[in-house]
Amino acid sequence: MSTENHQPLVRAIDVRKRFGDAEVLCGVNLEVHRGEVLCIIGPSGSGKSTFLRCINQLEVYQAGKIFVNGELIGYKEAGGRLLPISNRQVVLQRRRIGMVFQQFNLFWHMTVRENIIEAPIRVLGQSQAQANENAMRLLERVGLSAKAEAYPMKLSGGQQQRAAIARALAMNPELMLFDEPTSALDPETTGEVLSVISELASTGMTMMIVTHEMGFARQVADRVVLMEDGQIRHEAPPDQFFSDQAPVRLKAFLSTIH
Amino acid sequence: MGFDWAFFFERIVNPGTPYIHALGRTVSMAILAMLLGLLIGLVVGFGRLSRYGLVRSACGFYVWLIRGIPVLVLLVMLFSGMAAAGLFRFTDFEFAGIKLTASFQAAVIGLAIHEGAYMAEIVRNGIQAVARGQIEAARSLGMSPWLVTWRIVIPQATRVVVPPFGNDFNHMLKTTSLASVIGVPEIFQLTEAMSATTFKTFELLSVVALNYLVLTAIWNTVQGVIETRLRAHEIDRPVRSWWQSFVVYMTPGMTSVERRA
Amino acid sequence: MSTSRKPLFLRRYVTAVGLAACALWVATPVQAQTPRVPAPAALAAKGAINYCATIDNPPRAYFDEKQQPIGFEVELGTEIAALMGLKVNWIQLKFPGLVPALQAQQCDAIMQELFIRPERLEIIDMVPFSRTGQQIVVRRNDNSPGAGLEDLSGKKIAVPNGTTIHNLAIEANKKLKESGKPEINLVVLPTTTDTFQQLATSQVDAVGTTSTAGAYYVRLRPNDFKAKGSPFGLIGTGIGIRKGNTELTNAIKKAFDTTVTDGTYKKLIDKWNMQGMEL
Repeated sequence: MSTENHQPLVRAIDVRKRFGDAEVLCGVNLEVHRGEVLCIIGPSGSGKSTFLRCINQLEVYQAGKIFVNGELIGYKEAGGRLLPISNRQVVLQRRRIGMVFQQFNLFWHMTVRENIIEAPIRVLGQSQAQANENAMRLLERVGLSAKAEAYPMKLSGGQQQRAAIARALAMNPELMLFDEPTSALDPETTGEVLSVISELASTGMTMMIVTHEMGFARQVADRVVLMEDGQIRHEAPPDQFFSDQAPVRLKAFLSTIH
Repeated sequence: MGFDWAFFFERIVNPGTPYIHALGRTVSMAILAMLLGLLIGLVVGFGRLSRYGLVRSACGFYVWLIRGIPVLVLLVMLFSGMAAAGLFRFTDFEFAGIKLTASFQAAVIGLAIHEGAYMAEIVRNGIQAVARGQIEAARSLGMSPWLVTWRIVIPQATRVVVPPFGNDFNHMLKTTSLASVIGVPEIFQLTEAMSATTFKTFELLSVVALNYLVLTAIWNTVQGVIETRLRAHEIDRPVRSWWQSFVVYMTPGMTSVERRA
Repeated sequence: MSTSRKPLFLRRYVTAVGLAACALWVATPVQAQTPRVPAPAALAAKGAINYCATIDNPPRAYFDEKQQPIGFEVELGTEIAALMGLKVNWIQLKFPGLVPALQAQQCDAIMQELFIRPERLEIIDMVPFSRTGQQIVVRRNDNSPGAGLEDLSGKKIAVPNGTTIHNLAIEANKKLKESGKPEINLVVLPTTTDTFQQLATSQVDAVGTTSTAGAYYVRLRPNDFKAKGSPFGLIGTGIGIRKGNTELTNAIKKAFDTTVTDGTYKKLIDKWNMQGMEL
């Protein structure tokens, strides 16, 4: 598949979604370029997580378009209309996108290593040897080599989240989505996870991170985006975003966080 | 009248061939009824979660109906009631050289129907116990619905379902005694017959009670080993093999759960 | 209250008679007469005797539509108790539970078609009150040959659990096995009624029962059932009493003999069509 590198990896055009009567996404427009780290912040209920989950189709958006690597997500265009794609195609589209959850969601009935090799073997068809080799390399990278045979219940939150990141990376995604990755962690362990995410960012992975960690966003993001009431209110590089020239509303929001 | 110890021990050590056959019937009824009941439970349990309202209602009705009737009534209804009404009559059936009498078939099917209603609820609860996050994580990794079901939902649901299933089997071993009422020559019926001829009622009842105790004790150990193996994810010592499982199960205090923050 | 013209002595006479009548009425005990047979002290104090029975064995003892016990043994038992000045409490149990209940003193006597056999006499005392035999009953349209248990080789027969016919069938199977013939397919059920239900719905080929029960069911449904062969193994039946309870045994014996001598026994035999089964 040929993609021109200067095209954005992720393109969201006027994306809308409602849950029953409530409109959660009210026209989201966003672009994320290859290798870019984007942090999304905002009050709860602003639609940040929902938007993220629309990208890998854990939620279905009803209007607008989302493109990942030039491919329309969740729909196909036919005669000027958008028709939902089949389940099989949904599954294929998810393979290239990795997600890290707030609650880690490691498969508790498998060891850490088994968690990591599961999808590469079953979905990508890798051999046991290849998948295991990759897994050990990834565990080394996130600092969990010693815990390969441990079960998730025996790990701390930070260790579980690092294992979850390794699991997502094992699929060799071109886009990584982080849905409040440190919100469920206590301050001591938050640091170890943030450093893994930093390291990942420095390797050139395209990342979209929903987070409350302002300091981290300032440090690692290429661009920060504020979402409110289902729309993007403000986006800027971190220096501008957190500076004194920021709009009043943004400042007000930031002050509530700190 | 004192307790005839000699008679008691004689019956334990030397029960006689008819009694051994009866014991075989007790065990085989329990096993067959549980397997068939599990099958019914899976179908009805999944059915309760179906997206089709009609299927959900039908399965819900089955559970409500069967859980509202005593097992004994169900057994007699199947065996005598249906025949008396001209609806259906069980007949003896030979399968691979083994004779399955009408009453045996009715007993197994009746016990299975009863167990199925309870298994359905256990299965439904097991499926619903699988956290949504687990399924979302599996999906986000690009796993197909089939893979999600077989690699995540079923293994996790199984761990929730096995303990109550094991308890039901323990229960079933003893419930088979009700089959005596519809004429299955299992150990309780034989005990009653021997009581009438020998008048050693208390000794004989003690023997049969001991038989049930031994059967359930054996099963409890098997169940414990299986459960220990399935709880590998929360036990400190490794339980990768059945032998390890057995050792851990038998060691007092080892199966307590130690969780990290 | 009225100034009566009647002579004073007539009023006093009427009053005296009235008072005497009242006195006589008050003085009469609830039992119209002292019992003809003295009951053991314990039972007399209670005023009632507990009988254990299965009450599932027509015409000897069974329930009518109003769930009241009726039958030959019910009436005989009630009569015997009445002669002792006692009321009757019926305790219904399954057959194998009768003797244990008696031994546990949950009842005072077993009023049942209990065969008088040496093994039983070692455990309990018995007062004979009738005779009975075994009988095989089949469906009307069954014309298979033979008349005995061993002729039922390979067939299905229903018997009540723990009864003599049950044991006789097991014995017959031993013999059939030895001679290399197929065994009788024995279906063991809790009650006589169950066995006849199975016969009626063709779930079994024959029923093993007592001659009285057999005669009863055949008479009840002559178009469905018929006897196969004649009654065999004629044997006495007795009321069961705990060993050592000689006082009660003697009282019951005496009461029973009384029913024979005063004709009550014969009346009951005739009433319940048990001719040929009397002692």
